[in-house]
Amino acid sequence: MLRKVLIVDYGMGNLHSLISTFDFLGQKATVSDQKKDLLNSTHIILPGVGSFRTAMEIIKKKKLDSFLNEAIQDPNIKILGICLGMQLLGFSSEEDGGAEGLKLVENKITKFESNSENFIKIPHVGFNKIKVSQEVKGTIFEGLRENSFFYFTHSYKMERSPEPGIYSLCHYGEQFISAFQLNNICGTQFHPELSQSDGIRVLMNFLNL
Amino acid sequence: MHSRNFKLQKAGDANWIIKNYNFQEMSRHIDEIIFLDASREDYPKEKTKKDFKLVTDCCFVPISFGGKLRTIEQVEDRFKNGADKVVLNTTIFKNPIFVKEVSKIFGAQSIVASLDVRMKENKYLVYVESGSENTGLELNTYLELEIFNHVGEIYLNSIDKDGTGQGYDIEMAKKLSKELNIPVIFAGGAGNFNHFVELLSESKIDALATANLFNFVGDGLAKSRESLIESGYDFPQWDSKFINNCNKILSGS
Repeated sequence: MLRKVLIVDYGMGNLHSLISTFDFLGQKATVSDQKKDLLNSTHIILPGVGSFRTAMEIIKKKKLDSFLNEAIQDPNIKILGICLGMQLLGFSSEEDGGAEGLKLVENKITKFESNSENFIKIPHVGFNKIKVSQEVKGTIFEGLRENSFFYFTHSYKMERSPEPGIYSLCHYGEQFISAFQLNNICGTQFHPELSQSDGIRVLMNFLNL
Repeated sequence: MHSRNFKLQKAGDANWIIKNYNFQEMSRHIDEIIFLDASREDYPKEKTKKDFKLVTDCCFVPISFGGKLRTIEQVEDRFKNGADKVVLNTTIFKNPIFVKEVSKIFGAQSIVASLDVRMKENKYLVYVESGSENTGLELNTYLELEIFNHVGEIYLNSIDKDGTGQGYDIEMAKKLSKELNIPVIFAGGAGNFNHFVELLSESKIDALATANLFNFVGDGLAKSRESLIESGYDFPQWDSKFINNCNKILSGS
């Protein structure tokens, strides 16, 4: 099967690291925001760094919301949202006064909270462990060891409910969704392209879906 | 428990380091890279950009870029070319408005605020302009400046210990204020594995950094990391072979 990887370019996100990782793996990747390219791909990556609200404004302006919605109707097209990209797949976010997401999953995005009983530094930045919910063969989680570490950098996180298919939790003050796979829709709050071998494994698993 | 990072700082000719230190392999055993252009010339320099690209192309960890960044265009250029974060030093003190703007556009977590500290008359004082200008401010007072609400991490370097290989400035680590609510990366003086252990027992430090590649040449860093994990420190364990096996594995599919 010929793989066609597309990285969505809407002006937000460190595309360079992703492109260079795919290059290392020997996988060609197109960078585009055009409808025909999205519908013509097999694997779509939605990156993202920065404000949820700003991102959704740009995405709606470019009609990427409707292109992405149309693309995932085709079960042969898989999508992976990374960091802010994963959050955008959600229902809505509290960030910046609040905004609606792409609603490909029902989960809301809320801010980390720190208090005297539960003091955490915000944003959550650095390497942290994830714990997968169940049987993972054939998913993006396949082959990950019990204590796999990934690089996180975020102040907002995806709520645990409803359960988004097969998912992993991460603990930072509380448990939050660190990654999930719901049919052909995948998301990682962490940066797989910045997480050494564990990250590469997740990217390889996604490309093998 | 927030896991502790093991960061590596590198400056100098990238090609030479990548070849002679097998930097690519070394990078499999660290958590982050801080790339600092410590030359006195202004940014940008084509050679610096080329060197940075060499490093970003072979490593799969977050990479921060620092060195005379003064404008939004320069910062944006770095983010477009592989930097995950930028390191700002003198501008924190001399141009906080610029730093706030970077924070507003790219997010506070994209900024690592770098401090060079040296002891003078029994006080830890912060210096800027490559350590040549005394701000007159003591370390903890400096860290109370409002600008620190707009950065993601602190990179604290001891000028006195830097390059000595005699160990970190543990007294400085102890003196740090408990009230800091962003991570602190500590640097300056690491010469061997024992220095890592000494520093890690200081709870106010979230990460340790070393630029002293020479002392860890070969598999020194890998072995240090293994020993730290065996001693019970919660460091991620990376599988270097797996990464190398994945090189070009998808070519032709």
